[in-house]
Amino acid sequence: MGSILNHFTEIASWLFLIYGSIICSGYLFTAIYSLIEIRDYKRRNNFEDDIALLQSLNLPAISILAPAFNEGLNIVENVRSLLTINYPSFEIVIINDGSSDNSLELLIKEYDLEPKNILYHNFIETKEIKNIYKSTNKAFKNLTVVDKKNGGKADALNTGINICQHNVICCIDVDCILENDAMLKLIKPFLNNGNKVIASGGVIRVANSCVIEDGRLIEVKLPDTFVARVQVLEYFRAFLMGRMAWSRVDRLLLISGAFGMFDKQIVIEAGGYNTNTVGEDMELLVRMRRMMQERGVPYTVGFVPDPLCWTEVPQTWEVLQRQRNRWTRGTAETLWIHRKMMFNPKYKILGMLSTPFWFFFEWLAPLIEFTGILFFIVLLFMNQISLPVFLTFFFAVYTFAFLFSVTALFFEEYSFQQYKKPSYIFKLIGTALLEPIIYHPVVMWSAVMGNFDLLRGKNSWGVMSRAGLSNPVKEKKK
Amino acid sequence: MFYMYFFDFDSFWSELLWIMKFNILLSLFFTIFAIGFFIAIIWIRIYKNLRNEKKKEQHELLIEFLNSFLFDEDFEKEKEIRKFKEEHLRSSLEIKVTIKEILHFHENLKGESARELEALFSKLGLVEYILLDLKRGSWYTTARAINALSELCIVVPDHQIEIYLNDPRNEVRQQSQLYSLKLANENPLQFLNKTVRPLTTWQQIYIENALKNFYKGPPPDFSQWLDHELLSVVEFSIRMIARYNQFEHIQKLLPFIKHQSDIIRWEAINSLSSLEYTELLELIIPDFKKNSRLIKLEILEAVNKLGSHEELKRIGDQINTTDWELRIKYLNIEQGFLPDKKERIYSQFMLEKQFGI
Amino acid sequence: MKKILVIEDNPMVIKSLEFKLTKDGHDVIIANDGREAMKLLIENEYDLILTDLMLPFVTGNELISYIKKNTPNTPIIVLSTSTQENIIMDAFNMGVDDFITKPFSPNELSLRVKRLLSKS
Repeated sequence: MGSILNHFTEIASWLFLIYGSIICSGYLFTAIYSLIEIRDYKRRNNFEDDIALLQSLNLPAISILAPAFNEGLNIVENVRSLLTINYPSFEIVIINDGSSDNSLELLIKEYDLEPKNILYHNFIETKEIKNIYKSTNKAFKNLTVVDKKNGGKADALNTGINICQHNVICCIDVDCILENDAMLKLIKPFLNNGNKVIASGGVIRVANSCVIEDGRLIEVKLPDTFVARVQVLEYFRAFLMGRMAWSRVDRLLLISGAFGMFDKQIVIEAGGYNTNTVGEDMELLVRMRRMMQERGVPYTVGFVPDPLCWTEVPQTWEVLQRQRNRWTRGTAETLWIHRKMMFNPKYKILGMLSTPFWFFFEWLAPLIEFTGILFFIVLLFMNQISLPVFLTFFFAVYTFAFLFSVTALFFEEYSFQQYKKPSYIFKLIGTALLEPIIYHPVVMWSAVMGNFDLLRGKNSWGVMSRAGLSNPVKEKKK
Repeated sequence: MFYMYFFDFDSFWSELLWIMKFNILLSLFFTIFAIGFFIAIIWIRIYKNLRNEKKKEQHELLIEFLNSFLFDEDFEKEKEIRKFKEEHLRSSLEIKVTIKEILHFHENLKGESARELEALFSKLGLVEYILLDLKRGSWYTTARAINALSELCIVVPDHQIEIYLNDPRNEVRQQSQLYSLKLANENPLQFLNKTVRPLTTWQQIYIENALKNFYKGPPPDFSQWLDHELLSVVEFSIRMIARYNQFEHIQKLLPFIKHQSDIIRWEAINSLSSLEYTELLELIIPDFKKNSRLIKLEILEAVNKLGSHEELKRIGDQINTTDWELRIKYLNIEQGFLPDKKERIYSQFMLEKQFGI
Repeated sequence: MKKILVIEDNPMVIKSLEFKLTKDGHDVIIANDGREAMKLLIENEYDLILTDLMLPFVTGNELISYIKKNTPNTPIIVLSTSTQENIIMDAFNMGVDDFITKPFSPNELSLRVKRLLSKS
């Protein structure tokens, strides 16, 4: 009996170890790939003459779609800053998704809106549209506001897709802060490619504690709260290391819902955003890729690493847990919907590498980790743990996690260096030291709970209460 | 004492389980790497800060210098140039910032001021520096050097740039194309004859811009590339015929409205309609149904530009009732033709949508 | 001395305009973005306004529409990178007096400014 148990623990330990090593080497590879890609990107883009672009008649017009749900606090400023985007030809479609606050009234008053009869068709089925507004002021002629019944973010975006005029759409969160040349940068992959480009995505940065005035980023600051600060590191790792590498092999699976550009026709043909999942951004891109692959048309998804979009991330543990819980469900749902692709050689790298990677390393990792911890506790009770071995092992894992964060920090320093104050470096290093012990367990637990909730059939969005971006000017006004 | 300690360590180490040794070695390895990266971060930070400080200084100096040079009549040009060259063009950073700033000024100015900047550039001896960059060999310094040369219209012996026209790197190709365009006195698009790789939209935008803003000679006859073997070159030529109002080539464009590639067909219809070739409608309306949706939309657009409600109605029956995108486009154009019936068209459409009439 | 308000966000262009127009004997006031411009427009009147279209915080079009509503006689020159017909036409439809595209010739700009100032 005892020897069977010993065998079992030994085999299990080895399995955990092998899994861990595979993950680590996966990270190592993505890091190397990313470094090459960042260097290449910088070299490709070190002489840019925007004047030629701004004057061109060949730049496709863009429809910027921004769903708004109870955003009354900042909506007027946010729309104004969208209107000042540097791009020759674009329209802005704000979709008021049945807000219960006064967002709509504020917009009507500020921008002289009045209802307009506009012909449209529901290429994608959506909730009922109550009214479509246009401005009577010529200065705002590229602004459209749609008032509809509440149906969630995916439904709001689909409504925008049905109504908007242009062939390239850019889906953003209305409260995200865009850099001036965000559209010019994001459109580039569409123009500079031999293949059909179906989408391009950008990097999301953390806006908490940054100085924002009237919807514009004035000064980059490191978040004050630990929770938000860890996410700065997390975003470095995810975007500068992870997605950068995937984009080098053009097999990116996720374009953030907060900031992505798409070919409208392809989106409509794929069926638009899926209103039945909480991971609608990932699900759409996977579905679009799948469709293109099944049609056998060569295509590309672009990725732009410049910091173009800043957004507020959860500041409190509670909101963070809800968000991660939702992400887990989104990933699981997407993988489940497209389970046919996994390990299917018909889908090439997408089937053989991208989806399995997401399955094993994004979805499964927290579950395995959790099981590992349970296993460890059981062994502890059975007196099977040698403390010195455990401590050395723990230390090895911990130093690896730290190394990984420091590498990401290095990438940021090397490439964009947004956190300019010297003290920020030390704060970030300190955050990286604490993260594996304080932050990581919470995130893992949320992921485990996400899977649990999914099994129970919960699919509502966790409510994200926003602290409101820090806005010194507005505070003065008060 | 020291010996004792060492001895202890050895026996301690040898008594460890192999897995513990492995873990300890790994931890050490990771820690050393992490510290290495940390030092690199600090080093980059200090390096970049110093560099930025110097850049800023040089930048402010240049704004003052360049503005006085361009707009101040009392500025003693020769003397000041000599002085600037001796005092502020010593390190390679100073040179780089100066080149960049002059390029930036040049990008925003034209006319006499632009010419003066070009003269200044060579008087400061910056051309030699660019030529060194050109010869350095890596693709990005080459591209950067060609970019500067073409921006400032600096002539170097032809063969030096021509070899890059079909370079495997997109960026190098693009810069050398722009170079041979901007410096040409006539036939600026000669390089198209030698081009064997497709032009991206991006490249086309820059070529068109350079043609309009830099090239001073007579506009080329774009019809000479209509039979080029690359479709992207054909597409570009068709568009340019329209942009440059080369009405004399309308007949040559006609075959392209039946071309097998949708992109070419679209471009041909679009160009002919912006050349206001009214006979176009007779050629495209009867065949409306045979086209893909992309072309159908463009035909409607052409009717909008050149035609009347009568012609629009001829298309009406050819649109499938379930093809909503086309129908909406059709009705929008109809609303434009019949402004007083705008509301009626709208309410009829809404009724139809609701009840499927 | 005529008061000219220059609304522009490119520091290099601002410096050049300031230099050139001051040399021409004008009183040049600078606004680096749309919000600053709006503040200056509310506080003061100007003999001529030179503005870009793509500006931070408040678009050039909104500024133009504000100027035309409050001081309709102030001449406006747009200095913009746009060469697209529809953008230029929109600007003229809103009532601007002249449209200069970037890259621009400072000498030409200075002449156009003089001409508009002598007219009013």
